[in-house]
Amino acid sequence: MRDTRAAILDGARADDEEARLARQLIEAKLKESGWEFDSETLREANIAPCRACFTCWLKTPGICVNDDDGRRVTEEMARADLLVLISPITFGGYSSDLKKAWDRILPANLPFFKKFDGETHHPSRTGRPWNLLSIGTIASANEEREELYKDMLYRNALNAHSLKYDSVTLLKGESPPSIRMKLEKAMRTVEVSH
Amino acid sequence: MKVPSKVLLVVGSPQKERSTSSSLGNFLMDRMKERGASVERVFAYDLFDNEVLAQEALQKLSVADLVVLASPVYVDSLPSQVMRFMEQTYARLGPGSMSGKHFVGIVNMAFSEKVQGETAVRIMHEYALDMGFSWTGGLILPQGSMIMGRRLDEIGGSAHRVKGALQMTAEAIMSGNDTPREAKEMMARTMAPPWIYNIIVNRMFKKRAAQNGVKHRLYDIPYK
Repeated sequence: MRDTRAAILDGARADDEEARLARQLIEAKLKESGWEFDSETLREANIAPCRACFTCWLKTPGICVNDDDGRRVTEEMARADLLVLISPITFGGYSSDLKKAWDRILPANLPFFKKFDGETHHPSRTGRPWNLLSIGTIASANEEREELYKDMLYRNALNAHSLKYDSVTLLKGESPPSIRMKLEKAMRTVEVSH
Repeated sequence: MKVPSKVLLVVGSPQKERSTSSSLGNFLMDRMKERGASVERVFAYDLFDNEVLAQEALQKLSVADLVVLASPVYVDSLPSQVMRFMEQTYARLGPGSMSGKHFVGIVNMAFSEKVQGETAVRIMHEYALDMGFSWTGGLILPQGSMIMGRRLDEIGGSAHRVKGALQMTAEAIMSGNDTPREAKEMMARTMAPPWIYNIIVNRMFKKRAAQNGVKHRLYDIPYK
């Protein structure tokens, strides 16, 4: 059976035109391909940062101690087959707005340490893997940082037990046809479309 | 490099004083103090929720010769509040503002494989470059659960190499040198064989869940 549910975590700034267009295109393609999805504008969400208390593992399994928008986002992630992460490339990593939501994936994992292909990771709580698509925007080309952003998505994919994943970098001022072309290719890779 | 006289430790963990980041950072600071440095410490977690604390921290950054950022690894990179610390200090102080100062990054993580901490150190490195710091090196500690926020002075056997690595780092920096390769290698070695470590950690989780009365609910899927 095809995977059919996605969660979009948009950690971009309000003035990020490339991120805005990317999200629009992804949402349109998901709709067209018959996917259901949740879509979060994280800069407007009330999400407390993870405080590593492990309540979500050892006291109320699957539920964060913080009763805020983050609980909804965790649930959206837990239900999804595909996670879409949108962020300005921030020192090579995710923005704090994206990261505060991404860190809240903890309850959607089990606490246990288990080896997967020679590396330790947490099993996902639902037992299903997540496919991942990350979109990073950057003001000017920076090979080192773009590489780091892709490497991080690769690490994320190992942790999420992803079968398919891809990472796309968009330059400020990049033309809409170019953005569309990159995204269409990436969405084929993560099997939103064929 | 110039021998630092003022050192600022930035602790990235939300667990603050009780964190393994503090254990590592404090031990390094103590060794630097013994060699004549004066040290200050701030906690990144809620720093920019309080403007008074934020201003104090910015002031401490501007007078420090050396900044040590000690942080846990969350989901393959730095915790959101460490990213916020970086975004805020960059926005408020500006690119290149830390020119002439040095930067050491220390990350710790629960897993056994050093490679799982490398992206976090690379992000610290990129931040340091943008801020104008001279990068003095990054240390990665796997199996941080073996330390669990305890004072390193109070831990024996398993933490021996961790203390050795930090001691060596302090000596090098206080002699005007970068973090030695040997210290990085010592720090990155596992304290226990990974399969034994995983058994210990998994048992600890089950024990704590039992104490909380949720031993049989650990696998719950409380989502619609």
